[in-house]
Amino acid sequence: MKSPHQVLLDVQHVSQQYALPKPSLFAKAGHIQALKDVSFQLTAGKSMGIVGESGSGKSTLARLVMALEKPTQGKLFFNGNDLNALPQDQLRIARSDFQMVFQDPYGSLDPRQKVLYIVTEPLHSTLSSGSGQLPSTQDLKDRATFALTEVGLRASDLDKYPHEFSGGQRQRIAIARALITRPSLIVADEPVSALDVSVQAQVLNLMMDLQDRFGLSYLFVSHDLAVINLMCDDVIVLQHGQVVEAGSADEIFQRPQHPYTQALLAAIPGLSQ
Amino acid sequence: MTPSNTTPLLSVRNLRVGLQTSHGQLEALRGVDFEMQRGDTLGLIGESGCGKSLTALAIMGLLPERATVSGSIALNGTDLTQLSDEALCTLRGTRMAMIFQEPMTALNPLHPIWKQIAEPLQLHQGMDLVSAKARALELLERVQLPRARERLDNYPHQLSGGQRQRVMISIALACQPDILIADEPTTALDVTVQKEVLALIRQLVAEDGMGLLLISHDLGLMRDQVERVMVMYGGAVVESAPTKALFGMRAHPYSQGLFAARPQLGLKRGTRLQTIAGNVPEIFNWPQGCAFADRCAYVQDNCRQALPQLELVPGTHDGIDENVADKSRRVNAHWVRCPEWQKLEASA
Repeated sequence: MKSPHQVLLDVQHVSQQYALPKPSLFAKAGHIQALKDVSFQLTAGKSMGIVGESGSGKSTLARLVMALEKPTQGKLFFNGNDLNALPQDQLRIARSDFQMVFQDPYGSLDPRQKVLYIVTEPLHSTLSSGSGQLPSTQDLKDRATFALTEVGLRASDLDKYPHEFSGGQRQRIAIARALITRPSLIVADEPVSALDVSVQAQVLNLMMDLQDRFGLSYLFVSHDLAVINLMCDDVIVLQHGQVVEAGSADEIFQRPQHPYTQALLAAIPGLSQ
Repeated sequence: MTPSNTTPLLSVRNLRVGLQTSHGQLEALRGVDFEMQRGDTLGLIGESGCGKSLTALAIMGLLPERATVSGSIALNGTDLTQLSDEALCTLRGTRMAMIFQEPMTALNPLHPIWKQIAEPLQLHQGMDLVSAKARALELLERVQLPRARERLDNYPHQLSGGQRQRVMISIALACQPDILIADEPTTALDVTVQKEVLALIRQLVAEDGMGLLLISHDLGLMRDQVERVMVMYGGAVVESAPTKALFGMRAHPYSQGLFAARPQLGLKRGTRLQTIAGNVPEIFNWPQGCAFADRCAYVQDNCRQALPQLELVPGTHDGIDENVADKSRRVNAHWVRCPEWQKLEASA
């Protein structure tokens, strides 16, 4: 458990460039600046929303925070550790403290594995590298049962395959998988965008309940401003890889300063009347 | 039959669609009724599997091969369910057209966009290639594709999502159809692009006086785009009302649940959303009666026996012909397929 007000995630001047394919053999390869000088801090137990349109760098930022990529510039500190300076084996252990939930509940669960394996997989990968003893089969099962019950599924679901579940239930399985290592941070990249309205409400409520119960932080990526407003304390607005506005969610949604934020808010359908 | 002022543009009567599934032949549309006149804009709203896209595909004659259709779909008085495939092909593209959600998969990646716009013109209007290309340019200019002339020879992958959807719209409009069916036309687009594309559709529909059947899961979008909304659940229309009336008062327990479940700007951080108990049943588990019965707080025994009858919600009777006995034909009426709606209203 982290003490309150402690900085959990500290992103310092992060930039990310991707090389484009060379147009011809001798031509110089171009670059895409996916992120440019992005900085923010996330306090333990709080939630940060990342808003922007496709191509704005939201998902790149999520991948950097998950240490799935190295930034071309800048640093990311998680619990005071420089994520990109940690040796591989320590990074692996550190990973148990930050987990991810993806957008597509159909693509993000291995169709050939049973729920028990899917949900406990983060334990295998974070504990098998020396420091921790891999728990016994019974222990794994108990922890998986606990995680499933937390997300509103049943122990009997452990022996089923993903195709036996609806989209909302699959997203619950993905959340259970993220919860099983008891992380302090969950990076959620459009976690409810693929879900129907009534299912979305159930999953959002669940995520808020889990936050209250476990003191989690969310880094919540979404194009839906109403969802961000509900789930997050603070928001950063990305446009073309740059932060154009940052602040408390209330402030930004009630008094947007940057024209781009204003345009995003004005584009929400159904608000004009 | 010749079209006249009294013949509606589109009249769908007791439309039932059966689908072949791994659980046998199942009824996926359980009697859909509605009517549209030229210039009408009608929204179909509901969650995955409720039958809204199936309704559109049935009208377009694009159902899977082994699907069975009963009831009638009359376009300008002609029953489409009785037409041969060939005759239907002629109507598709000329009198009715459809825009799909994903413009990347709906367009052919191997042909430049002008050829894809020219295709219906050559096919249905017998245009030669030169005049079809000229018309394609006019159409692209009409859907406000920037630098349309330079883009004629572009392939779909060279365009952005919003631009592709403009191309799709220009194909749909090429032969000036009477009715445009748009199935989640902006769901794959960013909000600011969505706003532009929706404005374009609204403008084109108004200019040509087409009928618009818009399918979406986004309630806010419906509010801006259509005059009338039908809420679907479990293969049936559970509520139908002028958009304003529906946003004022939901009479069906499902409509109420759906509206209440939306996160809306201005909610306090951490507010729990209202949820509907249970899950949307799979089609092979649909109850015999009202599909919402198992999730409904107001359910009665009768609800489980058969689909409830339509009931009129008073207070929204502007311009309704009381002499029309069939409630679903009173186009401006607010009606609901729930016998308990008054209790609902009282508790709200």
